[in-house]
Amino acid sequence: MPKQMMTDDNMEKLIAYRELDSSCVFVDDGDGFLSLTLDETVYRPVDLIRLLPYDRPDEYISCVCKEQELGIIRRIADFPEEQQRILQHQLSFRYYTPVIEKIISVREKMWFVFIKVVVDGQKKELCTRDLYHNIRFYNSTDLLLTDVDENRYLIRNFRQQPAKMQQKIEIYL
Amino acid sequence: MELNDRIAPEIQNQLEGSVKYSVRYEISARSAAPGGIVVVTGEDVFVFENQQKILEIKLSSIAEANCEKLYGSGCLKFVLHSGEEKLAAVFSLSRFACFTALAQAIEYRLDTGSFPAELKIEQKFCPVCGSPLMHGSKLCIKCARKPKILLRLYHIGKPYLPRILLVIFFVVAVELLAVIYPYFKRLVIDNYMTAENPQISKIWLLFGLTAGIYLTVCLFEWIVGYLKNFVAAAVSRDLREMLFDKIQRLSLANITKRSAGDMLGRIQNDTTRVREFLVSYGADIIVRVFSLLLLTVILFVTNWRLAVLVILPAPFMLWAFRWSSDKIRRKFHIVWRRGQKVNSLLHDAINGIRVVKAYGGEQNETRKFERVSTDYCIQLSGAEKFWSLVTPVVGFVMTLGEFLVLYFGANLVLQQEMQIGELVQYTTYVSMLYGPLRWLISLPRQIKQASVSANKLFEIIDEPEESQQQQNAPCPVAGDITFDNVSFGYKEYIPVLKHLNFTVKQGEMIGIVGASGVGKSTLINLLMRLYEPTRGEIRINGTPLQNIPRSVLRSKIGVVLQETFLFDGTVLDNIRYAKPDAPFEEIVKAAKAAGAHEFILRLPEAYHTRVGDRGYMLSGGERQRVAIARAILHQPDILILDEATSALDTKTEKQIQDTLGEIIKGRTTFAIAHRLSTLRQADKLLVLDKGKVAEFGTHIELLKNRSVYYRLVMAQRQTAKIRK
Repeated sequence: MPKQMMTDDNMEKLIAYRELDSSCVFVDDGDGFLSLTLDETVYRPVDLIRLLPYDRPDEYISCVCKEQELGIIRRIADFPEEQQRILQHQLSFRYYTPVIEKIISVREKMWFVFIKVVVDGQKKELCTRDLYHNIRFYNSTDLLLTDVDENRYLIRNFRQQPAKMQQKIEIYL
Repeated sequence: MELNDRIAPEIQNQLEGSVKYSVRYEISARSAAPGGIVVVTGEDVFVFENQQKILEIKLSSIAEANCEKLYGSGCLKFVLHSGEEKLAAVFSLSRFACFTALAQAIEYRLDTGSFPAELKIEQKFCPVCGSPLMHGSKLCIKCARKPKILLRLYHIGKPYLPRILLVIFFVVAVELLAVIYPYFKRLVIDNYMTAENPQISKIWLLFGLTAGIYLTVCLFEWIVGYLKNFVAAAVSRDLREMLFDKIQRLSLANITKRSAGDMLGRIQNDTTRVREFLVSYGADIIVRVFSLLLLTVILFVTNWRLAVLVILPAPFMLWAFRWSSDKIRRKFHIVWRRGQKVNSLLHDAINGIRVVKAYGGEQNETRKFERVSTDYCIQLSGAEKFWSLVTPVVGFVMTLGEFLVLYFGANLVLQQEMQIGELVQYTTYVSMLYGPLRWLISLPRQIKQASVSANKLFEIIDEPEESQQQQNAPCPVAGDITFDNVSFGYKEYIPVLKHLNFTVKQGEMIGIVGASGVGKSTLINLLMRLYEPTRGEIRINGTPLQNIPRSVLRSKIGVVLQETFLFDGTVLDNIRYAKPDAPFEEIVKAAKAAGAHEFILRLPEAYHTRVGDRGYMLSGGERQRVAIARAILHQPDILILDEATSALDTKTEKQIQDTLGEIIKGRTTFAIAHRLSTLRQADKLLVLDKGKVAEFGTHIELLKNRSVYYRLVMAQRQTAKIRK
């Protein structure tokens, strides 16, 4: 076999990945794990990994079982409704990110910033170390805030929020 | 902290046996329940959600308990002896430390049959007040007793006490002279500058006295400045030296729990902050307060009604000063941030100009730069506009008291209740009063910052050192080396090595093989006692490693690493580093044995040639030979070669391999190499996989096994073929 051909074959093997479509079946095992039936083989437990967690959280989802990638889901929306629900449920606890509805106050104290917020309708005080590095735009509109425990919080449509709320955070952006 | 979250009575009723631990979680992976609770009893693990038992596992059926960080959450998983995995709980990262401790307690129980007496839970918040702790530290800013810390600083400054007292004396003298100066002005104006009583000779005398006071103040301020800076520099030098000395004596585990940046920051920035505090605030605290009290008394004694007018607007003035300072600081901070973005983009674009041009990214880069540059410009002009508007207004507000005094004082002069000179003296005192007041506003913040910096320094100074054992105890370093059920993790929740069991005979060469990150170098670190195993024991000739003094152990171990570190000194200094008292003849022998002597001869100043920072004057092969000479100078019983030749070209690698082949004879050698061909001389190979010993045996035995080692060999052969 010519050397060039061999290299091309190897390259093909190297870059190939399987796109998972609705022919594969995901099953919520009810114990927190996910199973995937692919070519009549059942894989368990399957981890879902967002390849573009910020820009496209519901697209390009890699499915991994025991450190081996089984394939990539191009778009969750292409799957039947029940399958979508199962996938979204798995992603919701792996990528647990509560949404901040309101910022009540921002207070700096030495090396820490204390932010009083409303999350899921409840008041809460978050504490971050070095807010400049722990707050950034998640995508073009949403802000992601990471606290001292590495919990992540989302502020949706930051530029659409009241001016006062924006001002409180602006200094750190 | 204990792991005993409250258990609802409905759950309590469903439990058998006494509860050892109970930990709540807030996310449910199984249902819509708002979390649940994991309960561990003497024999079982239970998980409850909505008061319903959803999982029950016998502890005896668990092989591993693992805590894992997901993206925005964490999870506790069990691997059963059957190989099946069980998900116990998913939780927010605020609960991660608790679940990590729980997983460790279960693992401990699996290993030993009993639960640990004490749990190690990583603290991020102060257990007393709940405030966040400094990164990599147990320091709570809120609970730290500032006066106590500052008093400790005073103790460090005790040798300089005479100078400190002199500073206080001269500062008090300067303040008193500053108070006298307006009084002379008053005398000149009221007594000798009047048309009725012109006394030019008295004016000359007072002029002379005033000039004398002025010159004396200048002289005293110079002395104060000199002494203050001397004491502050000396105290910060002492602190720096104490810190450096301490870091040298700390264990590697203690050092690496903080980043290198944090350590450098403490040695440089925190000592500087303490020094600056001592210069700017040290003796001044006493003197400024004294000066404030003195001026207030003088003002009230001279004219209490005017003094009230001075004091009344003070809170408002101070508030205006603070408000404007905060606003200006915030605005200019945003400007600084935007400036940083401009710099960072410039830095990237200029350093990466070859890449930019190679991919035709010039226009894209220009557009990005225009965007950040415009943003910077908008923020800067906004901040400048604010500053130019606010500063004069605040300046006016700050002098409000003086205006009031001038107006009402002038009225008193017109009503002949006050003389002009007295009014001049009074207004001078008023302006002198506002200075210390403004200074006092920033004082609490400065004290807090200095005490935190000092506390960060004292935290390291107070850290327990590596235990120094008696050196005269019998401690064999030669002999068989046994790893007995050794487990270790840099972070307690991520075990790097698990249950290692193997024995290496004296004089054997062991090749350590495995994928990157599998724990090969960690194993070596444990052997050198840079870290202590989390569980299990390492023994040399039957003696546990912890019974062998570190200094004795390390004097018998020679190490050659992939990244050779040479100090900025001569070749001689670098070889001699292993044995400072080695005679030159011994050094030449070591250099010859390492194959270094030949290239050293070609260097312009032979053994006295400086190698430069990190040895940049030498080639990679030359540096490695110097390192080998250094390693064999103290004739180690155990030799460690950690990827010692992987960074070298094939020819140099061959030469050094041949040299090493001679050196390792008769020495117990541990060699790590990715290129398996370099381990062909090894008596045995230890194959690590996922932190465990996957295989242990000779090359032939392992190839016959057709397991992990076989696959690694085949993969490398395949790669070699493709390269050809």
